[in-house]
Amino acid sequence: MDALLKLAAVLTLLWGGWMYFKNSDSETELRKVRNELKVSKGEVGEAQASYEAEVKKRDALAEEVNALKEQNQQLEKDIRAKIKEKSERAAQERRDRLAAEEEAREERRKAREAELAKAKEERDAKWKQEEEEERKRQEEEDAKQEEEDAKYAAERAAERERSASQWQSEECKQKIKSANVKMQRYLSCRAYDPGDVQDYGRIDLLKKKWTLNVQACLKAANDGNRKKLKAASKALRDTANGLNSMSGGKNAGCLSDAAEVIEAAETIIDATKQLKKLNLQGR
Amino acid sequence: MDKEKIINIFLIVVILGAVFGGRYYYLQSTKANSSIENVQKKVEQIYEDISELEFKTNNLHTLQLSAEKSRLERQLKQLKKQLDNI
Repeated sequence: MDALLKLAAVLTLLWGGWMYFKNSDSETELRKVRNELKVSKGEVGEAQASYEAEVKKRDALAEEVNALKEQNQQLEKDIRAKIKEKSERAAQERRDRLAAEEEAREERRKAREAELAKAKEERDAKWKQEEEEERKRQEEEDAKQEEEDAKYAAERAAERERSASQWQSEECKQKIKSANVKMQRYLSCRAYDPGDVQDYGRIDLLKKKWTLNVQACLKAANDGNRKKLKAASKALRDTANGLNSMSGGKNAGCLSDAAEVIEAAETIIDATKQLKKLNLQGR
Repeated sequence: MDKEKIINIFLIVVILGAVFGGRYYYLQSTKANSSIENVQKKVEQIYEDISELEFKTNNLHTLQLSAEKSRLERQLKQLKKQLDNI
């Protein structure tokens, strides 16, 4: 019994001790945990405070950011307004400048047009004057040309005349020469001397007379004396008639010869006269 | 009373004291454990709250706002300069 009791006492003491230590551990643990709780409460308080401070900071920042955004927006608006104003001013200035340039251009154009019109007028007047002068000059030239042409024509005519007159004078000379030769040829009468003509001497006489008449005609012709030629021609014709009648009409050739002689003499006179005229003209 | 009896009584008292003491400490210990659990729970909760607070604090994006503010301040300066230059 005592042993059991002692054993019980020991066991209970052990158990009690064990409980005590267990309780101590638990208390220690509890204290620890409570400290931890305290700390964590402190931490949470700090975290809360930090969070609240952060929130305040965030709110302040957000306000500042909003304010800055508004300020920036306002500045941007102001900048845009200023740029717009500047560009409008520049546009207005540009419009004014363009208008002024347009006006100046218009004035220059008008001035140029006036100048052109004036220049055109002057040019027209000048052209008219030049045309007038040209016309006058042309007229003068035409007149001169006409004069020259006339002169030339006159010269040519004169030349032709001279040539003509030269030719004519040559012709005349030739005519004179031919006529002279002809007359010379007819100096000797070709009268037929019929053997049965009673008055043989008269034919011979007439033949001589013929020669004299022809010579007279020739002289008259060479002297250019128509009057004398007329007389000599009459004498010659009479002589030819005489010869013809004396031969019983067998010397009709004498009449034609006489006519030839007279014609030749007249030719000489005409040619001589013409030649004189031509010579006078040629001078 | 003889000595044995006293010892026995003493032992009985010791036993009773140990029992009751043990029982007391046992109860205290149980209570303490229960408290420990509660406090631990509380501490966990607090730490959760702290985490949440930290998370919320991070979500405040204060740094970003601060950076935004710096950026806006620089922009403001530039805009003012630009306005003066126009």
